Amino acid sequence: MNAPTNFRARVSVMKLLDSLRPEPHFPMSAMVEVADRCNETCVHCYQIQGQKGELDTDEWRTIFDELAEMGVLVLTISGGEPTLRKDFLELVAYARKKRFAVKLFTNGLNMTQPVASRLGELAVQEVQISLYSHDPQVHDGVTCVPGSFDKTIKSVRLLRAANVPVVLKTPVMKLNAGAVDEYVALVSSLGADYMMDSTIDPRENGDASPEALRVDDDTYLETRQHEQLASDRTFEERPLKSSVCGACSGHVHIEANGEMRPCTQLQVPVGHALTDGVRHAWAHNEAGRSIRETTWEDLHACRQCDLRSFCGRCFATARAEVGDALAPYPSACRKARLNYQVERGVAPRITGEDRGLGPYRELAEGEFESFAVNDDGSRATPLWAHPPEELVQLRLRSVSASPED
Amino acid sequence: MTTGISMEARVSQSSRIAARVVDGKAVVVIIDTQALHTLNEVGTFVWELLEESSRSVSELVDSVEASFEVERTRAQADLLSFLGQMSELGALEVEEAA
Repeated sequence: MNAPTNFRARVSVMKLLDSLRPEPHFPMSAMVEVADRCNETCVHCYQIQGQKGELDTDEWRTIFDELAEMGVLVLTISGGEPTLRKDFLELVAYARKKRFAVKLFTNGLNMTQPVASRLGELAVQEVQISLYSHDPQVHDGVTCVPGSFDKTIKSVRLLRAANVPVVLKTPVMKLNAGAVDEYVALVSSLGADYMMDSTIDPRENGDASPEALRVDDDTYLETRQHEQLASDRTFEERPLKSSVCGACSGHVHIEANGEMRPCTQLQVPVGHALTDGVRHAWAHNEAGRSIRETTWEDLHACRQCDLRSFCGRCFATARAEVGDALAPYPSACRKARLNYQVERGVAPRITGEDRGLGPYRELAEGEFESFAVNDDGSRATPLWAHPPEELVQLRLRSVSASPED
Repeated sequence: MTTGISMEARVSQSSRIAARVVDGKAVVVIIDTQALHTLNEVGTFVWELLEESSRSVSELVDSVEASFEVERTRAQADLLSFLGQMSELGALEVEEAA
């Protein structure tokens, strides 16, 4: 769950909910990945399908009941591709019966007029659909499913006709960068909203190959500064006592088999929704509590970095890139420098050796140096911060096999 | 405030809302407008009365009067105002008796 790297921020109910939490980490939202399968095989996808298994209808109902009792208000139903489940509409209907604000993540391939109408009747709050380009060939190239563009566009039309709010979203990558105007024009003509994000994560098994799809610096800057995408979000001070990201904080994440995770990315078990119970796991799981309580102060180098306010670092990506969730890592440090440039209008000057890695110390306005940090007495790195050995080995193999970024 | 709602009218939660009571306050999302509202203690009390089934306005007045230190005329006026506002926002459905 990365912080501010998105190209377009939407003011949503989720933002408003932040101000209503009775305590800082109170979970007012949850994501349930109800399907461990997908009918697209997107080139950048971080998920590995078909290995976890899926809970049945009654098991999900039990979990929805508990989430509602806990006070969770916004429920995102995701996958894999959730519409592949035969009980998909049944799950949505039950979630609405429990008075959740339901968001649905789908690729739209399975959408039909009756399903769209039913989602409209059920007052689903929003359907988010992945659309990778205005160009059918590019979109189909990403999904690896010929004809998927046409089906996805058709699904948007069906949903809009049923008065269901639709958000089209895309990760910006080498395959689809540019042509923002055309993308926005298409989305607008469909009566939908849009989101773009530059985040491309390694696969959940440690495979780093998707990282080769990340855009270069010029494209990143160009996209972030595009007038259609420029967000009104400004980078804020990051107090040392504040959370680093949303992992295990304010948001429950449950995999298709009921295992709980800190977020979509960080593959650290933090309990099981059925065998432990969501509430119990949320409150008592040791790794979950440790992740939730981790603040910028615990990051042995980043806490000293003067570019911290411009950073959208992620525990999972840090673990994948440098083997330590709490350490600085190249892609985040690079992006922090680019974000500084977008915000301040000038690239930060790096004095001395440029290691491409923080922490950075500001010497004068706009002038920084990177420096190495020795053991500075911060708390011991927790176990969850290091990836299991098998993930390390998989990553090493995939990095050596990947083309240069 | 004149709401045009009679004491016999039946009130229910709209099916096009999402809601949760958090820390003693009802948080209500109106799906069609994407608006979010929070209710105070009395509003939350009334909201929870409507959780399972519809109620008549007079039943709601009875409950408010019995649970809060308030005169019936005041409870009735405040409740009608609240129901009118919530109905206008799309959070409640009010059905007048035939």
